Amino acid sequence: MIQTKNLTKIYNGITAVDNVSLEVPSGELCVLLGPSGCGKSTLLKMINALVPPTSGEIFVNGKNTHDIPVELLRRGIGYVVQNVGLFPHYTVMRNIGVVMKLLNKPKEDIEKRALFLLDLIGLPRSYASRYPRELSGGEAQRVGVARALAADPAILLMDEPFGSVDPLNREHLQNSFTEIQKTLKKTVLFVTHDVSEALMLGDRILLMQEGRIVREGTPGDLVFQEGDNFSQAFFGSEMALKLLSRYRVGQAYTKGMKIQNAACQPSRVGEAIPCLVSGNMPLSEALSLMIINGCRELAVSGDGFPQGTLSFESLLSYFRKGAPNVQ
Amino acid sequence: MYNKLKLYVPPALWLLLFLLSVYRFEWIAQWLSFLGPSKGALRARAPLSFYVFQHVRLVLISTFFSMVLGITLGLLTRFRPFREFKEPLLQTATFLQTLPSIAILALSVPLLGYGQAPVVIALVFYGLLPILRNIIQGLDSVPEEVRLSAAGMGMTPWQRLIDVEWPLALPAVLAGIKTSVIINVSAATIGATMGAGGLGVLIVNGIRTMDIMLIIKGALPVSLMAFLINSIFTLLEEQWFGNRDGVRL
Repeated sequence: MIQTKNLTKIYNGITAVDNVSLEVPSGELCVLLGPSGCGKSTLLKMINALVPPTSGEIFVNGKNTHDIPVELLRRGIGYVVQNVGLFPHYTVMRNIGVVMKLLNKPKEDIEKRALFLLDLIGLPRSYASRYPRELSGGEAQRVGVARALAADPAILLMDEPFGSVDPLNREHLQNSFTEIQKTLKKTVLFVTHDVSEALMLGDRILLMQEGRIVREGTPGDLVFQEGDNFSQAFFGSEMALKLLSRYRVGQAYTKGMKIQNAACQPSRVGEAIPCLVSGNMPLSEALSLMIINGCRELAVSGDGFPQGTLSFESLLSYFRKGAPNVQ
Repeated sequence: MYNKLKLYVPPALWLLLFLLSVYRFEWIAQWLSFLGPSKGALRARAPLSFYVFQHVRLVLISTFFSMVLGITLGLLTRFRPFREFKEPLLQTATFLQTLPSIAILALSVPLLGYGQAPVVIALVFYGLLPILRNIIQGLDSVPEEVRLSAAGMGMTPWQRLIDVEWPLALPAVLAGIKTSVIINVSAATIGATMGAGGLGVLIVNGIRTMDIMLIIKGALPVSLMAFLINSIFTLLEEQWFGNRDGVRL
Protein backbone atom coordinates (compact mmCIF):
# COMPACT_ATOMS: atom_id res chain seq x y z
CA MET A 1 0.00 0.00 0.00
CA ILE A 2 1.18 3.49 -0.84
CA GLN A 3 -0.23 6.52 0.89
CA THR A 4 0.71 10.18 0.83
CA LYS A 5 -0.60 12.91 3.10
CA ASN A 6 -0.52 16.58 2.09
CA LEU A 7 2.60 16.00 0.05
CA THR A 8 4.15 19.17 -1.33
CA LYS A 9 7.32 19.83 -3.30
CA ILE A 10 8.54 23.33 -4.03
CA TYR A 11 11.51 23.77 -6.37
CA ASN A 12 13.04 27.25 -6.35
CA GLY A 13 9.72 28.84 -5.52
CA ILE A 14 7.78 26.77 -8.07
CA THR A 15 5.25 24.36 -6.64
CA ALA A 16 5.76 21.09 -8.50
CA VAL A 17 3.53 18.99 -6.27
CA ASP A 18 0.80 20.76 -4.36
CA ASN A 19 -0.67 19.21 -1.24
CA VAL A 20 -1.35 15.78 -2.71
CA SER A 21 -3.01 13.10 -0.63
CA LEU A 22 -3.48 9.79 -2.35
CA GLU A 23 -3.80 6.15 -1.54
CA VAL A 24 -2.97 3.13 -3.65
CA PRO A 25 -4.43 0.01 -2.01
CA SER A 26 -2.48 -3.24 -2.22
CA GLY A 27 -2.72 -5.01 -5.55
CA GLU A 28 -3.99 -1.99 -7.44
CA LEU A 29 -2.41 -0.55 -10.57
CA CYS A 30 -2.89 3.16 -10.18
CA VAL A 31 -2.00 5.49 -13.04
CA LEU A 32 -0.78 9.03 -12.50
CA LEU A 33 -1.80 10.73 -15.70
CA GLY A 34 -1.10 14.27 -16.79
CA PRO A 35 0.69 16.52 -19.26
CA SER A 36 4.44 16.93 -18.96
CA GLY A 37 5.45 19.24 -16.17
CA CYS A 38 2.37 18.49 -14.07
CA GLY A 39 4.48 17.06 -11.26
CA LYS A 40 3.57 13.39 -11.69
CA SER A 41 7.17 12.26 -11.99
CA THR A 42 8.26 14.36 -9.01
CA LEU A 43 5.45 12.84 -6.98
CA LEU A 44 6.64 9.36 -7.91
CA LYS A 45 10.27 10.13 -7.06
CA MET A 46 9.27 11.37 -3.62
CA ILE A 47 7.88 7.94 -2.80
CA ASN A 48 11.25 6.21 -3.17
CA ALA A 49 13.03 9.23 -1.70
CA LEU A 50 14.86 10.24 -4.88
CA VAL A 51 13.32 13.66 -4.30
CA PRO A 52 12.93 14.92 -0.73
CA PRO A 53 9.47 16.36 -0.09
CA THR A 54 9.14 19.96 1.06
CA SER A 55 6.32 18.97 3.39
CA GLY A 56 3.88 16.14 3.94
CA GLU A 57 4.20 12.47 4.72
CA ILE A 58 4.52 9.26 2.75
CA PHE A 59 3.56 5.81 4.00
CA VAL A 60 4.66 2.61 2.31
CA ASN A 61 3.00 -0.52 3.68
CA GLY A 62 1.85 1.54 6.63
CA LYS A 63 5.32 2.79 7.58
CA ASN A 64 6.36 6.39 7.34
CA THR A 65 9.15 6.43 4.75
CA HIS A 66 10.88 9.12 6.73
CA ASP A 67 11.71 6.51 9.38
CA ILE A 68 13.25 3.99 6.96
CA PRO A 69 16.87 4.37 5.74
CA VAL A 70 16.63 5.41 2.08
CA GLU A 71 18.63 2.47 0.73
CA LEU A 72 16.47 -0.05 2.57
CA LEU A 73 13.31 1.70 1.43
CA ARG A 74 14.43 1.67 -2.21
CA ARG A 75 15.49 -1.98 -2.15
CA GLY A 76 11.93 -2.83 -1.16
CA ILE A 77 10.40 -0.92 -4.06
CA GLY A 78 10.73 -1.93 -7.71
CA TYR A 79 11.61 1.00 -9.93
CA VAL A 80 11.35 1.26 -13.72
CA VAL A 81 12.45 4.39 -15.57
CA GLN A 82 11.79 5.60 -19.09
CA ASN A 83 15.14 4.94 -20.73
CA VAL A 84 15.57 1.71 -18.76
CA GLY A 85 18.96 2.65 -17.34
CA LEU A 86 20.37 -0.88 -17.50
CA PHE A 87 24.02 -0.96 -16.46
CA PRO A 88 25.94 -1.15 -19.76
CA HIS A 89 28.83 -3.09 -18.21
CA TYR A 90 26.62 -5.80 -16.67
CA THR A 91 25.09 -8.76 -18.47
CA VAL A 92 21.31 -9.12 -18.47
CA MET A 93 21.65 -11.67 -15.67
CA ARG A 94 23.68 -9.34 -13.47
CA ASN A 95 21.41 -6.43 -14.27
CA ILE A 96 18.38 -8.38 -13.13
CA GLY A 97 20.23 -9.47 -10.01
CA VAL A 98 21.34 -6.04 -8.79
CA VAL A 99 18.80 -5.60 -6.01
CA MET A 100 19.02 -9.23 -4.89
CA LYS A 101 22.78 -8.84 -4.65
CA LEU A 102 22.31 -5.70 -2.56
CA LEU A 103 20.10 -7.81 -0.30
CA ASN A 104 22.89 -10.42 -0.05
CA LYS A 105 20.92 -13.23 -1.65
CA PRO A 106 22.99 -16.31 -2.58
CA LYS A 107 24.24 -16.49 -6.14
CA GLU A 108 22.24 -19.61 -7.06
CA ASP A 109 19.01 -17.93 -5.97
CA ILE A 110 19.81 -14.88 -8.06
CA GLU A 111 20.49 -17.00 -11.14
CA LYS A 112 17.37 -19.08 -10.67
CA ARG A 113 15.25 -15.99 -10.18
CA ALA A 114 16.76 -14.21 -13.21
CA LEU A 115 15.95 -17.18 -15.45
CA PHE A 116 12.42 -17.35 -14.04
CA LEU A 117 11.96 -13.66 -14.75
CA LEU A 118 13.28 -14.00 -18.31
CA ASP A 119 10.56 -16.63 -18.84
CA LEU A 120 7.99 -14.35 -17.26
CA ILE A 121 8.78 -11.35 -19.44
CA GLY A 122 8.97 -13.52 -22.54
CA LEU A 123 12.67 -13.40 -23.41
CA PRO A 124 14.74 -16.49 -24.20
CA ARG A 125 16.98 -17.70 -21.38
CA SER A 126 20.00 -17.35 -23.64
CA TYR A 127 19.63 -13.59 -23.21
CA ALA A 128 21.02 -13.91 -19.68
CA SER A 129 24.58 -13.58 -20.94
CA ARG A 130 23.92 -10.67 -23.30
CA TYR A 131 24.92 -7.09 -22.72
CA PRO A 132 22.33 -4.28 -22.85
CA ARG A 133 23.71 -2.90 -26.11
CA GLU A 134 22.86 -6.24 -27.74
CA LEU A 135 19.16 -5.77 -26.93
CA SER A 136 16.48 -3.90 -28.86
CA GLY A 137 14.64 -1.06 -27.12
CA GLY A 138 11.66 -3.26 -26.33
CA GLU A 139 13.81 -6.11 -25.03
CA ALA A 140 15.82 -3.75 -22.84
CA GLN A 141 12.58 -2.39 -21.39
CA ARG A 142 11.43 -5.92 -20.60
CA VAL A 143 14.68 -6.55 -18.79
CA GLY A 144 14.07 -3.27 -16.94
CA VAL A 145 10.74 -4.64 -15.72
CA ALA A 146 12.37 -7.94 -14.75
CA ARG A 147 15.03 -6.08 -12.81
CA ALA A 148 12.36 -4.19 -10.89
CA LEU A 149 10.56 -7.45 -10.09
CA ALA A 150 13.71 -9.35 -9.10
CA ALA A 151 13.56 -9.02 -5.34
CA ASP A 152 9.78 -9.58 -5.47
CA PRO A 153 8.86 -6.17 -4.04
CA ALA A 154 5.23 -5.58 -3.08
CA ILE A 155 5.39 -2.17 -4.68
CA LEU A 156 6.41 -1.05 -8.17
CA LEU A 157 7.01 2.52 -9.25
CA MET A 158 7.00 2.94 -13.02
CA ASP A 159 7.99 6.26 -14.55
CA GLU A 160 6.81 6.31 -18.18
CA PRO A 161 8.32 2.86 -18.55
CA PHE A 162 7.18 2.30 -22.13
CA GLY A 163 7.56 5.89 -23.27
CA SER A 164 10.68 5.47 -25.38
CA VAL A 165 9.58 2.30 -27.17
CA ASP A 166 8.07 2.32 -30.67
CA PRO A 167 4.24 2.00 -30.83
CA LEU A 168 4.14 -1.65 -31.89
CA ASN A 169 6.52 -2.78 -29.17
CA ARG A 170 4.78 -0.55 -26.65
CA GLU A 171 1.53 -2.39 -27.29
CA HIS A 172 3.29 -5.75 -26.81
CA LEU A 173 4.85 -4.51 -23.61
CA GLN A 174 1.54 -3.16 -22.30
CA ASN A 175 -0.20 -6.43 -23.07
CA SER A 176 2.44 -8.58 -21.45
CA PHE A 177 2.66 -6.28 -18.47
CA THR A 178 -1.12 -6.57 -18.05
CA GLU A 179 -0.74 -10.35 -18.02
CA ILE A 180 2.12 -10.23 -15.52
CA GLN A 181 0.21 -7.88 -13.26
CA LYS A 182 -2.83 -10.19 -13.35
CA THR A 183 -0.79 -12.97 -11.77
CA LEU A 184 1.55 -10.97 -9.52
CA LYS A 185 -0.94 -8.40 -8.20
CA LYS A 186 1.70 -5.83 -7.29
CA THR A 187 0.82 -2.44 -5.93
CA VAL A 188 1.80 -0.26 -8.85
CA LEU A 189 2.03 3.47 -9.25
CA PHE A 190 2.42 4.08 -12.97
CA VAL A 191 3.26 7.49 -14.41
CA THR A 192 2.33 8.30 -17.99
CA HIS A 193 1.16 11.16 -20.21
CA ASP A 194 -0.44 8.74 -22.65
CA VAL A 195 -4.23 8.62 -22.26
CA SER A 196 -4.56 5.32 -24.15
CA GLU A 197 -1.98 3.70 -21.95
CA ALA A 198 -3.71 4.97 -18.81
CA LEU A 199 -7.13 3.75 -19.94
CA MET A 200 -5.76 0.39 -20.99
CA LEU A 201 -3.64 -0.43 -17.95
CA GLY A 202 -5.03 1.43 -14.96
CA ASP A 203 -7.35 -0.02 -12.35
CA ARG A 204 -7.72 3.58 -11.32
CA ILE A 205 -6.49 6.82 -12.83
CA LEU A 206 -5.42 9.98 -11.03
CA LEU A 207 -5.40 12.95 -13.37
CA MET A 208 -2.88 15.61 -12.43
CA GLN A 209 -2.67 19.25 -13.45
CA GLU A 210 -0.19 21.78 -12.11
CA GLY A 211 0.80 19.67 -9.15
CA ARG A 212 -2.69 18.74 -8.03
CA ILE A 213 -4.86 15.71 -8.53
CA VAL A 214 -7.84 17.20 -10.36
CA ARG A 215 -9.81 14.04 -11.09
CA GLU A 216 -9.75 10.42 -10.14
CA GLY A 217 -11.68 7.32 -10.91
CA THR A 218 -11.73 4.06 -12.81
CA PRO A 219 -11.13 4.30 -16.55
CA GLY A 220 -14.88 3.77 -17.09
CA ASP A 221 -15.77 6.58 -14.69
CA LEU A 222 -13.42 8.99 -16.39
CA VAL A 223 -14.78 8.22 -19.84
CA PHE A 224 -18.48 8.16 -19.02
CA GLN A 225 -18.74 10.85 -16.38
CA GLU A 226 -18.42 14.44 -17.37
CA GLY A 227 -15.27 16.20 -16.26
CA ASP A 228 -14.11 19.81 -16.30
CA ASN A 229 -12.70 21.49 -19.41
CA PHE A 230 -9.10 20.45 -18.75
CA SER A 231 -10.04 16.85 -18.21
CA GLN A 232 -12.28 16.71 -21.32
CA ALA A 233 -9.58 18.31 -23.45
CA PHE A 234 -6.87 16.06 -22.10
CA PHE A 235 -8.79 12.83 -22.57
CA GLY A 236 -10.03 13.95 -26.00
CA SER A 237 -13.32 13.10 -27.64
CA GLU A 238 -12.18 9.67 -28.82
CA MET A 239 -11.56 8.46 -25.29
CA ALA A 240 -14.32 5.85 -25.58
CA LEU A 241 -12.40 4.20 -28.41
CA LYS A 242 -9.28 4.12 -26.27
CA LEU A 243 -11.26 2.56 -23.43
CA LEU A 244 -12.21 -0.32 -25.74
CA SER A 245 -8.66 -1.66 -25.74
CA ARG A 246 -9.18 -2.55 -22.06
CA TYR A 247 -11.84 -5.10 -22.87
CA ARG A 248 -11.77 -8.40 -24.69
CA VAL A 249 -14.24 -9.80 -27.14
CA GLY A 250 -14.80 -12.62 -24.66
CA GLN A 251 -16.35 -10.19 -22.18
CA ALA A 252 -18.99 -8.71 -24.47
CA TYR A 253 -20.07 -11.38 -26.97
CA THR A 254 -23.19 -13.52 -26.89
CA LYS A 255 -22.48 -17.23 -26.51
CA GLY A 256 -24.19 -19.69 -28.76
CA MET A 257 -25.68 -17.09 -31.04
CA LYS A 258 -25.33 -17.64 -34.79
CA ILE A 259 -24.50 -14.85 -37.17
CA GLN A 260 -27.81 -13.36 -38.39
CA ASN A 261 -26.68 -11.21 -41.26
CA ALA A 262 -25.74 -13.30 -44.28
CA ALA A 263 -23.26 -10.70 -45.49
CA CYS A 264 -21.17 -11.28 -42.41
CA GLN A 265 -20.91 -15.06 -42.70
CA PRO A 266 -17.24 -15.91 -42.23
CA SER A 267 -17.22 -18.13 -45.31
CA ARG A 268 -18.37 -15.29 -47.54
CA VAL A 269 -15.60 -12.94 -46.71
CA GLY A 270 -12.75 -14.92 -48.11
CA GLU A 271 -10.05 -17.33 -47.20
CA ALA A 272 -8.59 -15.26 -44.38
CA ILE A 273 -11.95 -15.30 -42.56
CA PRO A 274 -11.41 -11.82 -41.15
CA CYS A 275 -14.80 -11.87 -39.45
CA LEU A 276 -13.87 -14.83 -37.26
CA VAL A 277 -12.19 -13.58 -34.14
CA SER A 278 -10.77 -14.99 -30.93
CA GLY A 279 -12.27 -14.20 -27.56
CA ASN A 280 -8.91 -12.75 -26.55
CA MET A 281 -9.04 -9.99 -29.14
CA PRO A 282 -9.32 -6.49 -27.66
CA LEU A 283 -12.68 -4.88 -28.40
CA SER A 284 -10.91 -1.98 -30.08
CA GLU A 285 -9.56 -4.38 -32.71
CA ALA A 286 -12.94 -6.04 -33.07
CA LEU A 287 -14.62 -2.69 -33.75
CA SER A 288 -11.89 -1.85 -36.22
CA LEU A 289 -12.56 -5.15 -38.03
CA MET A 290 -16.27 -4.37 -38.20
CA ILE A 291 -15.49 -1.03 -39.80
CA ILE A 292 -13.00 -2.43 -42.28
CA ASN A 293 -15.20 -5.31 -43.37
CA GLY A 294 -18.44 -3.40 -43.20
CA CYS A 295 -20.20 -5.99 -41.06
CA ARG A 296 -22.06 -5.47 -37.81
CA GLU A 297 -21.37 -8.98 -36.53
CA LEU A 298 -18.28 -11.05 -35.87
CA ALA A 299 -18.12 -14.77 -35.30
CA VAL A 300 -16.26 -15.67 -32.14
CA SER A 301 -14.46 -18.91 -31.46
CA GLY A 302 -11.12 -20.34 -30.48
CA ASP A 303 -8.76 -19.93 -27.54
CA GLY A 304 -11.15 -21.83 -25.27
CA PHE A 305 -14.12 -19.58 -25.87
CA PRO A 306 -17.42 -21.23 -26.83
CA GLN A 307 -18.71 -20.22 -30.23
CA GLY A 308 -20.86 -17.15 -30.43
CA THR A 309 -21.32 -13.76 -31.98
CA LEU A 310 -20.26 -10.26 -31.19
CA SER A 311 -22.59 -7.73 -32.73
CA PHE A 312 -22.25 -4.00 -32.90
CA GLU A 313 -25.48 -3.69 -30.87
CA SER A 314 -24.15 -5.93 -28.10
CA LEU A 315 -21.00 -3.84 -28.05
CA LEU A 316 -23.07 -0.69 -27.54
CA SER A 317 -25.23 -2.21 -24.84
CA TYR A 318 -22.17 -3.58 -23.05
CA PHE A 319 -20.97 -0.02 -22.61
CA ARG A 320 -24.43 1.40 -21.96
CA LYS A 321 -24.05 4.27 -19.57
CA GLY A 322 -23.96 3.01 -16.02
CA ALA A 323 -23.65 -0.61 -17.08
CA PRO A 324 -22.12 -2.71 -14.30
CA ASN A 325 -19.46 -4.09 -16.64
CA VAL A 326 -17.77 -0.79 -17.06
CA GLN A 327 -15.01 -0.07 -14.64
CA MET B 1 42.47 -15.45 -33.14
CA TYR B 2 44.19 -13.68 -36.02
CA ASN B 3 42.61 -10.39 -35.00
CA LYS B 4 43.74 -10.83 -31.42
CA LEU B 5 47.32 -11.49 -32.50
CA LYS B 6 47.25 -8.49 -34.80
CA LEU B 7 46.83 -6.25 -31.76
CA TYR B 8 50.25 -7.27 -30.45
CA VAL B 9 52.13 -6.29 -33.59
CA PRO B 10 52.46 -2.51 -33.01
CA PRO B 11 53.73 -2.78 -29.41
CA ALA B 12 56.18 -5.51 -30.46
CA LEU B 13 57.52 -3.38 -33.31
CA TRP B 14 57.92 -0.30 -31.15
CA LEU B 15 59.61 -2.34 -28.46
CA LEU B 16 62.06 -3.70 -31.02
CA LEU B 17 62.86 -0.22 -32.33
CA PHE B 18 63.22 1.10 -28.80
CA LEU B 19 65.62 -1.68 -27.78
CA LEU B 20 67.62 -1.13 -30.97
CA SER B 21 67.95 2.57 -30.19
CA VAL B 22 69.21 1.75 -26.71
CA TYR B 23 71.52 -1.24 -27.23
CA ARG B 24 72.55 -0.88 -30.85
CA PHE B 25 72.91 2.85 -31.20
CA GLU B 26 76.12 2.40 -33.17
CA TRP B 27 74.06 0.95 -36.07
CA ILE B 28 71.86 3.99 -36.13
CA ALA B 29 74.90 6.24 -35.82
CA GLN B 30 76.34 4.60 -38.94
CA TRP B 31 73.22 5.29 -40.97
CA LEU B 32 73.29 8.86 -39.76
CA SER B 33 77.03 9.36 -40.33
CA PHE B 34 76.32 12.04 -42.94
CA LEU B 35 75.50 14.34 -40.01
CA GLY B 36 79.18 14.61 -39.31
CA PRO B 37 81.60 13.15 -36.78
CA SER B 38 80.60 12.88 -33.13
CA LYS B 39 82.94 12.99 -30.20
CA GLY B 40 80.56 12.36 -27.36
CA ALA B 41 77.96 10.03 -28.80
CA LEU B 42 79.94 6.82 -29.01
CA ARG B 43 82.25 7.31 -26.05
CA ALA B 44 79.86 8.02 -23.23
CA ARG B 45 80.68 7.91 -19.55
CA ALA B 46 77.80 5.56 -18.83
CA PRO B 47 75.96 3.11 -21.09
CA LEU B 48 72.77 4.45 -22.67
CA SER B 49 70.69 1.92 -20.72
CA PHE B 50 71.74 3.65 -17.50
CA TYR B 51 70.12 6.92 -18.64
CA VAL B 52 67.09 5.04 -19.94
CA PHE B 53 66.65 3.41 -16.54
CA GLN B 54 66.92 6.77 -14.78
CA HIS B 55 64.42 8.25 -17.19
CA VAL B 56 61.91 5.43 -16.81
CA ARG B 57 62.20 5.64 -13.03
CA LEU B 58 61.47 9.37 -13.08
CA VAL B 59 58.42 8.82 -15.28
CA LEU B 60 57.11 5.88 -13.25
CA ILE B 61 57.44 7.63 -9.90
CA SER B 62 55.83 10.85 -11.10
CA THR B 63 53.06 9.05 -12.98
CA PHE B 64 52.30 6.99 -9.91
CA PHE B 65 51.81 10.12 -7.82
CA SER B 66 49.87 11.86 -10.62
CA MET B 67 47.53 8.87 -10.68
CA VAL B 68 47.08 8.72 -6.93
CA LEU B 69 46.50 12.45 -6.70
CA GLY B 70 44.35 12.70 -9.81
CA ILE B 71 42.14 9.72 -9.00
CA THR B 72 41.74 10.73 -5.35
CA LEU B 73 40.82 14.30 -6.23
CA GLY B 74 38.58 13.14 -9.09
CA LEU B 75 36.66 10.72 -6.87
CA LEU B 76 36.40 13.28 -4.08
CA THR B 77 34.55 15.64 -6.42
CA ARG B 78 31.69 13.12 -6.37
CA PHE B 79 31.06 13.71 -2.68
CA ARG B 80 29.18 16.58 -1.22
CA PRO B 81 31.59 18.93 0.49
CA PHE B 82 34.07 18.63 -2.39
CA ARG B 83 31.55 18.82 -5.22
CA GLU B 84 31.82 22.59 -5.26
CA PHE B 85 35.56 22.34 -5.98
CA LYS B 86 35.19 20.49 -9.26
CA GLU B 87 35.50 23.55 -11.51
CA PRO B 88 38.24 25.36 -9.53
CA LEU B 89 40.20 22.10 -9.42
CA LEU B 90 39.98 21.61 -13.17
CA GLN B 91 40.95 25.21 -13.74
CA THR B 92 43.96 24.92 -11.45
CA ALA B 93 45.10 21.76 -13.19
CA THR B 94 44.66 23.42 -16.57
CA PHE B 95 46.69 26.38 -15.37
CA LEU B 96 49.50 24.09 -14.16
CA GLN B 97 49.48 22.40 -17.54
CA THR B 98 49.87 25.66 -19.44
CA LEU B 99 52.99 26.65 -17.50
CA PRO B 100 56.12 25.69 -19.42
CA SER B 101 57.70 22.74 -17.62
CA ILE B 102 60.96 24.63 -17.36
CA ALA B 103 59.12 27.35 -15.40
CA ILE B 104 57.71 24.84 -12.91
CA LEU B 105 61.22 23.48 -12.42
CA ALA B 106 62.64 26.94 -12.01
CA LEU B 107 60.05 27.62 -9.36
CA SER B 108 60.57 24.39 -7.44
CA VAL B 109 64.37 24.43 -7.35
CA PRO B 110 64.63 27.37 -4.93
CA LEU B 111 62.29 25.44 -2.62
CA LEU B 112 63.61 21.91 -2.95
CA GLY B 113 67.11 22.36 -4.30
CA TYR B 114 68.65 20.30 -7.08
CA GLY B 115 68.11 16.59 -7.62
CA GLN B 116 65.20 14.30 -8.28
CA ALA B 117 62.64 15.71 -5.81
CA PRO B 118 61.85 19.00 -7.59
CA VAL B 119 61.70 17.23 -10.93
CA VAL B 120 59.33 14.56 -9.66
CA ILE B 121 57.08 17.18 -8.10
CA ALA B 122 57.02 19.23 -11.28
CA LEU B 123 56.20 16.14 -13.33
CA VAL B 124 53.46 15.09 -10.92
CA PHE B 125 51.68 18.41 -11.35
CA TYR B 126 52.39 18.37 -15.03
CA GLY B 127 50.79 14.98 -15.56
CA LEU B 128 47.88 15.67 -13.22
CA LEU B 129 45.54 17.46 -15.59
CA PRO B 130 44.88 14.72 -18.16
CA ILE B 131 44.07 12.22 -15.42
CA LEU B 132 41.93 14.59 -13.38
CA ARG B 133 40.06 15.96 -16.37
CA ASN B 134 39.32 12.55 -17.82
CA ILE B 135 38.15 11.03 -14.55
CA ILE B 136 35.82 13.97 -13.91
CA GLN B 137 34.47 13.97 -17.46
CA GLY B 138 34.23 10.18 -17.46
CA LEU B 139 32.17 10.18 -14.28
CA ASP B 140 30.05 13.07 -15.55
CA SER B 141 29.23 11.26 -18.76
CA VAL B 142 27.57 8.27 -17.05
CA PRO B 143 24.01 8.38 -18.48
CA GLU B 144 21.47 10.05 -16.22
CA GLU B 145 19.04 7.11 -16.34
CA VAL B 146 21.81 4.73 -15.23
CA ARG B 147 22.56 6.95 -12.27
CA LEU B 148 18.86 7.30 -11.51
CA SER B 149 18.13 3.59 -11.63
CA ALA B 150 21.22 2.79 -9.54
CA ALA B 151 19.98 5.16 -6.86
CA GLY B 152 16.39 4.00 -7.26
CA MET B 153 17.35 0.38 -6.66
CA GLY B 154 18.88 1.26 -3.33
CA MET B 155 22.62 1.35 -3.99
CA THR B 156 24.50 3.52 -1.52
CA PRO B 157 26.44 6.48 -2.95
CA TRP B 158 29.64 4.47 -2.44
CA GLN B 159 28.27 1.38 -4.21
CA ARG B 160 27.05 3.57 -7.07
CA LEU B 161 30.51 5.06 -7.45
CA ILE B 162 32.48 1.81 -7.21
CA ASP B 163 30.15 -0.62 -8.98
CA VAL B 164 28.60 1.61 -11.63
CA GLU B 165 30.15 5.01 -12.22
CA TRP B 166 33.81 4.07 -11.84
CA PRO B 167 33.74 1.06 -14.21
CA LEU B 168 31.90 3.14 -16.79
CA ALA B 169 34.44 5.95 -16.46
CA LEU B 170 37.42 3.59 -16.56
CA PRO B 171 38.12 3.80 -20.31
CA ALA B 172 38.28 7.59 -20.00
CA VAL B 173 40.54 7.32 -16.96
CA LEU B 174 42.89 4.98 -18.80
CA ALA B 175 43.02 7.40 -21.73
CA GLY B 176 43.93 10.16 -19.27
CA ILE B 177 46.72 8.09 -17.76
CA LYS B 178 48.05 7.38 -21.24
CA THR B 179 48.21 11.07 -22.09
CA SER B 180 49.80 11.80 -18.73
CA VAL B 181 52.56 9.21 -19.13
CA ILE B 182 53.38 10.35 -22.65
CA ILE B 183 53.55 13.98 -21.58
CA ASN B 184 55.88 13.04 -18.74
CA VAL B 185 58.15 10.90 -20.90
CA SER B 186 59.00 13.99 -22.88
CA ALA B 187 58.82 16.45 -19.98
CA ALA B 188 61.25 14.34 -17.95
CA THR B 189 64.07 15.27 -20.33
CA ILE B 190 64.03 18.70 -18.67
CA GLY B 191 65.02 16.92 -15.45
CA ALA B 192 68.63 16.83 -16.67
CA THR B 193 68.96 20.56 -16.16
CA MET B 194 68.08 20.08 -12.47
CA GLY B 195 70.43 17.22 -11.91
CA ALA B 196 67.82 14.48 -11.95
CA GLY B 197 69.55 12.52 -14.70
CA GLY B 198 67.67 10.70 -17.43
CA LEU B 199 67.97 10.84 -21.19
CA GLY B 200 67.82 14.62 -20.98
CA VAL B 201 71.46 14.53 -19.88
CA LEU B 202 72.52 13.44 -23.36
CA ILE B 203 70.33 16.02 -25.04
CA VAL B 204 71.56 18.85 -22.81
CA ASN B 205 75.20 17.83 -23.30
CA GLY B 206 74.63 17.54 -27.03
CA ILE B 207 73.23 21.02 -27.20
CA ARG B 208 76.10 22.38 -25.12
CA THR B 209 78.76 20.80 -27.36
CA MET B 210 76.84 21.28 -30.62
CA ASP B 211 76.91 17.48 -31.08
CA ILE B 212 73.87 16.50 -33.16
CA MET B 213 74.57 12.77 -32.82
CA LEU B 214 74.55 13.01 -29.06
CA ILE B 215 71.21 14.86 -29.13
CA ILE B 216 69.79 12.10 -31.33
CA LYS B 217 71.18 9.47 -29.01
CA GLY B 218 69.15 10.96 -26.17
CA ALA B 219 66.07 12.03 -28.11
CA LEU B 220 65.47 8.88 -30.15
CA PRO B 221 64.81 6.55 -27.18
CA VAL B 222 62.54 9.22 -25.65
CA SER B 223 60.30 9.41 -28.70
CA LEU B 224 60.37 5.65 -29.29
CA MET B 225 59.44 5.16 -25.63
CA ALA B 226 56.45 7.47 -26.13
CA PHE B 227 55.32 5.47 -29.17
CA LEU B 228 55.84 2.21 -27.30
CA ILE B 229 53.76 3.38 -24.34
CA ASN B 230 51.04 4.67 -26.61
CA SER B 231 50.83 1.33 -28.41
CA ILE B 232 50.76 -0.61 -25.13
CA PHE B 233 47.85 1.50 -23.86
CA THR B 234 46.02 1.04 -27.14
CA LEU B 235 46.44 -2.70 -26.71
CA LEU B 236 45.17 -2.58 -23.12
CA GLU B 237 42.14 -0.48 -24.13
CA GLU B 238 41.31 -2.94 -26.86
CA GLN B 239 41.71 -5.91 -24.51
CA TRP B 240 39.69 -4.48 -21.64
CA PHE B 241 37.07 -2.27 -23.20
CA GLY B 242 37.00 -3.24 -26.86
CA ASN B 243 34.17 -5.62 -26.16
CA ARG B 244 31.80 -3.63 -24.07
CA ASP B 245 30.00 -0.35 -23.84
CA GLY B 246 31.94 2.08 -21.78
CA VAL B 247 32.26 5.77 -21.85
CA ARG B 248 34.70 6.92 -24.50
CA LEU B 249 36.15 10.33 -24.81
